Amino acid sequence: MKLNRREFLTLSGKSAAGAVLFAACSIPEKELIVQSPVDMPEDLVRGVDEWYATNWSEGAPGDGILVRVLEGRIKKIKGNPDHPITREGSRTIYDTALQIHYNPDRLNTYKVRRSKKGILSNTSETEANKLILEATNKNKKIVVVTNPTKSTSGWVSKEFAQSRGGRYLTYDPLDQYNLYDALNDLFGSYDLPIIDISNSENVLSFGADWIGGWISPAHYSSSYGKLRSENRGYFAHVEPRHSITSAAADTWLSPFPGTESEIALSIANVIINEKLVSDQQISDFLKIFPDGKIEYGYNPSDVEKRTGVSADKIVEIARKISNGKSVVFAGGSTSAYTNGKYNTFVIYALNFLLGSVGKEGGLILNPKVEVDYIDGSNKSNSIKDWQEELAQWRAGYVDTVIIKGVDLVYSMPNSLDVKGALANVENVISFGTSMNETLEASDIIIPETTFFQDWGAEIPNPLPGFKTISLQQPVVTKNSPGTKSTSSYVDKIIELESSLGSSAKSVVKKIFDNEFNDSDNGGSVKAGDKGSFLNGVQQRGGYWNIKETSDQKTPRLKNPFTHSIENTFSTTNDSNEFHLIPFTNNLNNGKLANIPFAQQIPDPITSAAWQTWVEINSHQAEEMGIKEGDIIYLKSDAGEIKCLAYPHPAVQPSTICVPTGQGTLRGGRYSEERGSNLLKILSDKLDPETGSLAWASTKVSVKRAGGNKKLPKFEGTVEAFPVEPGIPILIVAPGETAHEAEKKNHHKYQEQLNLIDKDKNNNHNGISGEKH
Amino acid sequence: MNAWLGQPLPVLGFEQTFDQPINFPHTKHAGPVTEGGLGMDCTYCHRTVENSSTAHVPAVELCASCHRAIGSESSEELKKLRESAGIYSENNQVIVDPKKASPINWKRVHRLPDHVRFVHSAHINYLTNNPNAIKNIPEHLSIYGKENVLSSEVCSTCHGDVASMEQVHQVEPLKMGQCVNCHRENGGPTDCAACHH
Repeated sequence: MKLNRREFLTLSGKSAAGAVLFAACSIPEKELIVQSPVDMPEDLVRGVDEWYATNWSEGAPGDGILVRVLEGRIKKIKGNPDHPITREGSRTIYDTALQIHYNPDRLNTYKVRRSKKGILSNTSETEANKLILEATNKNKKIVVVTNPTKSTSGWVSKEFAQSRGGRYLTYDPLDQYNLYDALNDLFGSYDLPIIDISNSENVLSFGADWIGGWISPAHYSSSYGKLRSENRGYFAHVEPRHSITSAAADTWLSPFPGTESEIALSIANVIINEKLVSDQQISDFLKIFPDGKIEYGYNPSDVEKRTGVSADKIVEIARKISNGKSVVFAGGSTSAYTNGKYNTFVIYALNFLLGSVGKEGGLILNPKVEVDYIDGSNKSNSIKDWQEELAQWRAGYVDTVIIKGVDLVYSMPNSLDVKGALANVENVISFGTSMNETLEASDIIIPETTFFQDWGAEIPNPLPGFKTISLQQPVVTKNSPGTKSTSSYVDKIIELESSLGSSAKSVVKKIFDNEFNDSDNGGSVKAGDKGSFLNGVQQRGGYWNIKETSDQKTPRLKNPFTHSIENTFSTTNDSNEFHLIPFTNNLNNGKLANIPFAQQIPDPITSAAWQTWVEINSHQAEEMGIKEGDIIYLKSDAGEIKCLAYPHPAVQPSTICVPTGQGTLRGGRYSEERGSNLLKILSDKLDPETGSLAWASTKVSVKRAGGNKKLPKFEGTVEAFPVEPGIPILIVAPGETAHEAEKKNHHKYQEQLNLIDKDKNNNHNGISGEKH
Repeated sequence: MNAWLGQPLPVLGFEQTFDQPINFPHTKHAGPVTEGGLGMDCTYCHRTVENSSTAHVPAVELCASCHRAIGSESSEELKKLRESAGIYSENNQVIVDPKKASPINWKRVHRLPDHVRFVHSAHINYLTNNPNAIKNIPEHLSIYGKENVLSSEVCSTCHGDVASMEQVHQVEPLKMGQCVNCHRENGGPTDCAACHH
């Protein structure tokens, strides 16, 4: 027998120890078992990835996404290029969903509080189910609360509440209630129109940070790319904050907060006086207003005094947008003053003057899509509705409240005292993937599956101009490690009310079976039978039909305003008052605060992250002796918080801008004791027209708290370097124009140019020498 | 030591075999048609072998795709399979109920230690795409000297002629020495991290 060295060593090594080992023990049985799956999932093939088309209703509503799954694990999310909303767009925020699923603080056990004064403790699913059944029986007065949604989740919530004679409400901090209401008056529908930025030549936006994170950012940011490609379109933006949208605009106007409608009317004034559009368009516009005319006092020079915006700029914008395909729209803080609805109404009405309604490059009205088993609304309930509802809770008229997808205790202003109201409800049942302040105040906590594990369907908001239903499908099993005891919201509600169906999957199947019956007139999926049709829908991430567009030809034109309305701010009676402009960032008003990916995405303007900062005018900060990182108190009539200062030259004097989302008390290791909760100090000022919270009408006093902390940010951590060789860096100081800076830095600038030239010459000589 | 060396093959893993939950006859499925087999290609059932690190044991559903209709109703082995696949007859109708289906716990015959990562697809693809490499493999293997080989023929390099085995057993040592020798002879990587990663 010929043995090589390796075989000899193997044999001699094993002969002594191995004989003993093998005689004493055998290979454990479990190591020999290789289980054949009943049905081999494609994504279990090692080293081969699968991409599933689905939808994240809570985090990126309406967007179509693709999820990469490798060996049964979710690895990556990106935009679905096939989906009519997302198109080629994608968002950084998509990947944050991975950390919702894999969060180390993820809830995976049911919890129960046995008496109102008791503590939450873990319990079995069986016991929790028994308690839930008792709390939701037909004799109980039940209220269901979710985030605003038009989906299967909205449908079960509404149907279940009705089956118990109860109510279904939605809540969204920094909501866009006035936007929906104003659009309903103009167009007779609460469904948002799609703004056809891609095909527009001139875009004028007010308040909506549509490149940053306003409604449907994936859609609008890809539209921005199209606007700027080939025949570069013109874009002006009006907003007190220097957002990424303000920074990207050709013309950015920073008005005194609440005066946006005056700028819109002044632009209209210029267009009408200079007859820049047809008489028909002028007549269409003026008939919206009482007596068919705009009030006096909107010539640009008068408006300049009231808004702080240059009259010349107003005239310039008016002339530009009158020429070619234009669109005007508003949202964000513009819709959230005490005159928010008025602002929004007037601004959208400008589209009639420009002849942009229902036209390519303008406002495309969306069809009214009614689908069985999809219900709810993208418009949340107003604060006035909530004040009335919470009064019922406080009085003990409600037995059970079911909450999903919204942290009421964290996100409602102090003035509503929702925690006190919840304390008077006998049973508070909350769903969640990780703890939050509302779950902490609940009596029964149901650990929820993520959207990666559930079935669902949603109508995007806004629609892309035609009927679209987005599909949500499970991409991983419910039995992944750490999530075995979790429950799907829709499945759980169906368990409580069997008349709703048998499961979320069966509900979704019924939706698309119905669509199959109507799919003969064209659509994104064609199939011979229902099963193949659903397969097609699963492959594309939804079903849409470009032929099903709005048939609305004439607007409703209901003007509820008989005269102009001015904004009124809350006051702190302090001499050092600032207008507070809150803004939403990647933390999604706190929903993603416990996600490190979301925390570390830097703000595109300040580059700050992981903290609550205050953008304050640099000159004013200097006068007040405030430096970057100084800890300052912001005090409103509703409360006080601490933040870090970020002096910024582009902030309107007497205005401060602060991001929401931090300061959660029970969010897990990544969010607790981090920053402050701005939502708590918002004043209870309402828009009297709609009863919605005027979240941009709060004034705060600013005071140094003493102390300084390093503000985490990217800016300044890397030295500036020329992007292209040969182009020197021009340093522009705050308040300086590029021309002034060039003059001021002339010698330094010239010096760099000379150095570069010298360098070039040297190189050239060297190469020449080699050649010789 | 005598005991150890006296029966080297089973102890070192050679000829290792087990009674399986279902007595699956490879001879019947993969055996040559001339000998009463169906001549099926290995990759029909082990369908991920060409593009994945593992060959994968086929899903019960794959077996059931044929055996819900084919095969004697009285066969004890097929009864076990149909039970696992959730197939039963009712009123002369064959019903497939996935809720009644359950996995089959096959016993692994070829088993490498946890610290070794053997990637099937890399080996299959190398040998099918490089006929020259085949000249170095042992002469007794069926693919020796061939110009073009199928993936299923490559399997026999390590697994032997499974198509002729009533009960599958291990015929090669599958020890590190065998791997390293073969890698050396065929120009494969011999650094530790090629397999231990």
